[in-house]
Amino acid sequence: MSILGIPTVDFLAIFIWIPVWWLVALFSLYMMRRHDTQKAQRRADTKEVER
Amino acid sequence: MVQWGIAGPFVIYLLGLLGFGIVASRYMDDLGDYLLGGRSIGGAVTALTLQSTSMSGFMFMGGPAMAFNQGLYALWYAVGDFGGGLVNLGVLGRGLRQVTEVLGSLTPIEWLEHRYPHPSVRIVGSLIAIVFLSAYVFSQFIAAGQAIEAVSGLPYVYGVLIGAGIIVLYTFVGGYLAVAWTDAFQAIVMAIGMNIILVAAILEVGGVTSMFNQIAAQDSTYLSIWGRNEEYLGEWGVIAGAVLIYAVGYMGLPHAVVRHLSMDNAETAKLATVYNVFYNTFFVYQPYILGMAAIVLLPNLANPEMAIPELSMMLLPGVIAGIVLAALMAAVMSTADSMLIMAGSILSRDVVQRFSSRDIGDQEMLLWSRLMVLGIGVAGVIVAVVQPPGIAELVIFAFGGLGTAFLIPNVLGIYWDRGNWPGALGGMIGGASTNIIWTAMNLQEVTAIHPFFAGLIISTVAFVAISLMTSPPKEETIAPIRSARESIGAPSGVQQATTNELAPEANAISEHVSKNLELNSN
Repeated sequence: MSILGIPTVDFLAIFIWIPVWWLVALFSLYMMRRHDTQKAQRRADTKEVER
Repeated sequence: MVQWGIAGPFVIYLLGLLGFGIVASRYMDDLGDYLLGGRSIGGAVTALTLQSTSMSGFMFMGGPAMAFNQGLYALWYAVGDFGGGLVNLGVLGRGLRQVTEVLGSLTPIEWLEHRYPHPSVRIVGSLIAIVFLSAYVFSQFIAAGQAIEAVSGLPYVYGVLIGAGIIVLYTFVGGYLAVAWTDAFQAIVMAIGMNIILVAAILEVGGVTSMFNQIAAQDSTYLSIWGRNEEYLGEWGVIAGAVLIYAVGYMGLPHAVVRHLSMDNAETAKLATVYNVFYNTFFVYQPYILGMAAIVLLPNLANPEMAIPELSMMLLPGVIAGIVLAALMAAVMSTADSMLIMAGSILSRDVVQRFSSRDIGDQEMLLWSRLMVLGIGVAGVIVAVVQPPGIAELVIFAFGGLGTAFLIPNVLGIYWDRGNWPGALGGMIGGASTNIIWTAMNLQEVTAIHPFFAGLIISTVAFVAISLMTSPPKEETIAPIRSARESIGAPSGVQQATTNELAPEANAISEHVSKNLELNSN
């Protein structure tokens, strides 16, 4: 079994990382945005309590 | 014999780069502008300059040569490299941008002393950085001269003078901004050049599957992830090192880390991560695949490092080959200029200004920085022409030495408040020396562990163990870092107001020195 002439296991070991890194990038973007939203919410709540 | 069809467009390209330097110089008001582009770099330029700086001429010469010799195994380096910028931005980007502005740090070494307040941290850090960065600059100048000589036919000395001369000139004139802009431009040139030659090579061998079938027909172990003749079969320490050296190693390189300091704000890191991965999709694997294509197309290649230039001259018409040469030079130049400005910055800011007995004003420091860039540049040209013994050996240690020295202090400086200056010192010295000893004594052969991996382990152990055995850092050291970390993602105005002005900091340093003197005299 091969993909593009490279044995399947060897192909996957090397090239599976391209979609994996993309997923990591999108996930970290999501996490950064979530972190910021939650922090902004906490700040807003704190201000509300202070008033 | 000079091939003007190739050399002509290439020289025009180089002169065009000078234009970036001249334009950038118009935006120059103070030292912060010269060293960090006034902390004004946006997401796309950050992503491109980070990647083109991190990847040197290795991507056009060493990487393809490794693939030519070892086959698919070489692509482990691409696996790590693909995620290197992303990991760097995700782990360090926002935190370091925010913290260094609050602390007023203009260089990665200055940041280390601010985080681990002790002069020895800056002395050892500067020493390691300047030695390895300078060696790296020299090697890139040599590579530039050799590449121009090999492809255009110009004599080597002219190649060095043209390639290095242009780099020194635009860096001297335009500072960090010129470096960042030219890097971003050159990153695009690199990707275009690389993909042109890749398409030409794949068409020549009759398609991707046909190429790998022809490689397997020569030697099926070329297509093994364990290396040709399965040299590294089961050696996971070697594989981990090959992946990690680029996946995490960039977080230790001062000339890569400074890209975080120069972002226009911490939010820039978000966009930059996506731009970075997008760019890597079109660049990182390609050089290695071309190295493998050369196994079929250039089976008798005498110098595998010249695989890409040879392929481009074989497959492309003169002017297009000139573009590929420009791309190769772009890889060399975008790394060399970043190292040059970094080494100049460290010398001026972390050595001259830090240890001067008097306060040096902003305008005088701007002059010092330019002089340091010019000095290292001229020294680099002389070394590249003379090529004294020992330079090549020094370069072998450079990447690993820098990466293993600074990676752990950088990362734990942001995330681990308990880390202190003796730990940072231990981490720097332990990491760099392990990497050097491992490489020099070829301990990978005996232990099946990559020198970079070994250096990283020792650096981590030394940093953590020494920090825990010694006093924790003072609260006043950690408080601003904690507060800066907390302000990430805050609306503008929440973040502590800060300044890049040097005068307040110089005063703080002189106050600190005076206090120490008083203590000593008591």
